[in-house]
Amino acid sequence: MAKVPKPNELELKYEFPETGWMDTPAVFRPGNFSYPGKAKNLKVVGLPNPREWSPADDDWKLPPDWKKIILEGLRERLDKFRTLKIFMDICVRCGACADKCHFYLGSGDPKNMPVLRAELLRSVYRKEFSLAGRIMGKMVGARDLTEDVIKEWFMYFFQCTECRRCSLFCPYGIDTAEITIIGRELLNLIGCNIDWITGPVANCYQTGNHLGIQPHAFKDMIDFFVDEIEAVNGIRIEPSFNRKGAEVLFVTPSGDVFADPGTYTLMGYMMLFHEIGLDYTWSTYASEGGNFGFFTSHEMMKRLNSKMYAEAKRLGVKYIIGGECGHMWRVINQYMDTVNGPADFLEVPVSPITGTRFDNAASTRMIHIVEFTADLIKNGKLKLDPSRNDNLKVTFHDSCNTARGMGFFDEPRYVIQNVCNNFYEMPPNTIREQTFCCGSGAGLNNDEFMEMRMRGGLPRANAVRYVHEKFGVNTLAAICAIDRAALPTLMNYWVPDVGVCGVHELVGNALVMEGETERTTDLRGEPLPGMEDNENEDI
Amino acid sequence: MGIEHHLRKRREEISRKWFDLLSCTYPEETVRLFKKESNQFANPVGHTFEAAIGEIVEEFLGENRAEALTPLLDKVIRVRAVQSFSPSAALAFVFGLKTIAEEVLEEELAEGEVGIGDLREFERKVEGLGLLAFDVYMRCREDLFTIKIEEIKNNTRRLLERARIIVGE
Repeated sequence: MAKVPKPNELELKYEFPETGWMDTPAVFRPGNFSYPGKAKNLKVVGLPNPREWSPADDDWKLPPDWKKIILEGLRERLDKFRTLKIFMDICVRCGACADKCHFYLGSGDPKNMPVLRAELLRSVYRKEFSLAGRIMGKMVGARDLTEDVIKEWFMYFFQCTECRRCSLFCPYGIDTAEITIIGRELLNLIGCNIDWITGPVANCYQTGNHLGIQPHAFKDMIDFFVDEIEAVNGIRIEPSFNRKGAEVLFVTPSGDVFADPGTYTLMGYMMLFHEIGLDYTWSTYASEGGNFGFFTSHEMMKRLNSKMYAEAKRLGVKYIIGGECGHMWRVINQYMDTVNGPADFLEVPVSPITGTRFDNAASTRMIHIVEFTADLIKNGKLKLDPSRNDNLKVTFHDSCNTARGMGFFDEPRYVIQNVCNNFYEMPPNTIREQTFCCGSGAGLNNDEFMEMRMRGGLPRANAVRYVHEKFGVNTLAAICAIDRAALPTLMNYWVPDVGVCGVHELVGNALVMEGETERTTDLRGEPLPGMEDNENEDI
Repeated sequence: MGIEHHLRKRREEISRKWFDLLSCTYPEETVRLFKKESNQFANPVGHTFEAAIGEIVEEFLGENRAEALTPLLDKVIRVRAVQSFSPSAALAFVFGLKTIAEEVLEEELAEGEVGIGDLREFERKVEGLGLLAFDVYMRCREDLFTIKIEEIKNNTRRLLERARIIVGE
């Protein structure tokens, strides 16, 4: 609860804050931090210093030799990652990145400027690893590592969604997301992490998915969607689970299985695969595409990523198709080949329907469902009726990980424009490689962090509002499960008349299937355009 | 002639001063961004504030209708309601309009063209605007709590739906 202000605090001051950033400590209050990792979750994966604590407490119960651990950890990473060493040394603080961060734009807090976020770590690096810093201290931007610095790191490295928009504008190519990644890795060494990350990591490690859904429940939910699809168009789909010898293993974020509106996207995948007769299987063990290990440490990312490939090997599939996910794809595209690859026990993906060989996945042997579908459409293999989406005016949110992490811009737009008649782009400096983050990625999509998420998502919502007011856009499509979870909430606060969907939900709506009954509703059970009068009969 | 007549003539100056005063609640670096960046997507908060302040002044010194002012105040307050401000600090800018009016009308007040009584009357109107701002702020915060609850419900809705079916059968 906010303290009662004294009368003099109500006066408007015309001065700026008096203390510099180094002397302004992070203040934790409910709403501006994510809950800390629970001891039981840390224990499951062997993360250090499991304990019950809160960022709002004075005593964070750090290990007695925390300082030594952090400095040795930093030294080890400076040796291991040449990029980190370069990023620490070459920043000239030109400020090109400063106003590019969605959290800075939404909060106005200078410590959310990427340059300053990096400076939180760099100042310690200077003090401990540079001669000038050791001798001249603050004069050259160096400072001691104290508990307050750790608290500040925790505050601001968990106020960055690792979206990499800032890196796009850096003339030196410094990737501040990598600095956040290292910052979080260091914090994890002394047990400072958040439960919305450690919980999913522990669950994924034990049961194969972030939500901790066990195999029977996973199968049960997929079966539930079989019924739902049958109710929409009379087609009974027969999915298979853990089937050895299938051609393709399909892996998607578990959010698609359990949370609306991802569930409708999942129905779209199932309908598509059924229609083209794809020989694929689900795995109830590799039942997660997302990788929250990526938000913990490189080692944890490797560990969680490996299960998909282990399962592909066990089942003897030829290759993997991945669903509409964000960080799964960044890990696959940028890290998988180094940490777990090459996946030479699989084959280079070839579409069994069109014969297209996906050489872009020659090493990872895993392709994105949107490129797979775009190829089907391009080769005329799908019968589509885009007028079924005529009630929707759609815009597309480029998810940071697929956009900046893998340069995936045109395929989703191509698919959307083939399944919808009304598509409008947001302004150029808010899409494609310059896309604004949803504000909830990298493990920050928790409810206790709602205020911060609304700040972080403000620039994205601002661009959506623009196309909503100008073109009447009412639907925001995205190819990431975090987006599908985060954007509806963001829209509810900033642009309440805009709904959110996945691209394959739109495909599922438009797909004309062999032997289907007359379609009167979309996948959400809402009447199709022109079918509004049939609504009651349908029920 | 009422005080509004004099203030209306100075509405650009008032808007500028009010925007400056609102900006001063942010750190210096941020104010620079608010003022220098003209692209509305690269400077969403500064642009929103500047546009909304102008519209609020126009309406407040004109017809002063609550139904017209509410959505305009919402543009500014919806942002401040999720930033690091206490409720009082988030809304204090509204009352700054009193000081601004007194500043811009310094000459008129000295020459007696505008009486102290007029100024007091105007200040009461600003207090009314403050109360309206309070309503808007509360609605924003209520929206925030509501969406939080909706999000939690949605996370488990499918599972509960499924569980009910199992129980039902």
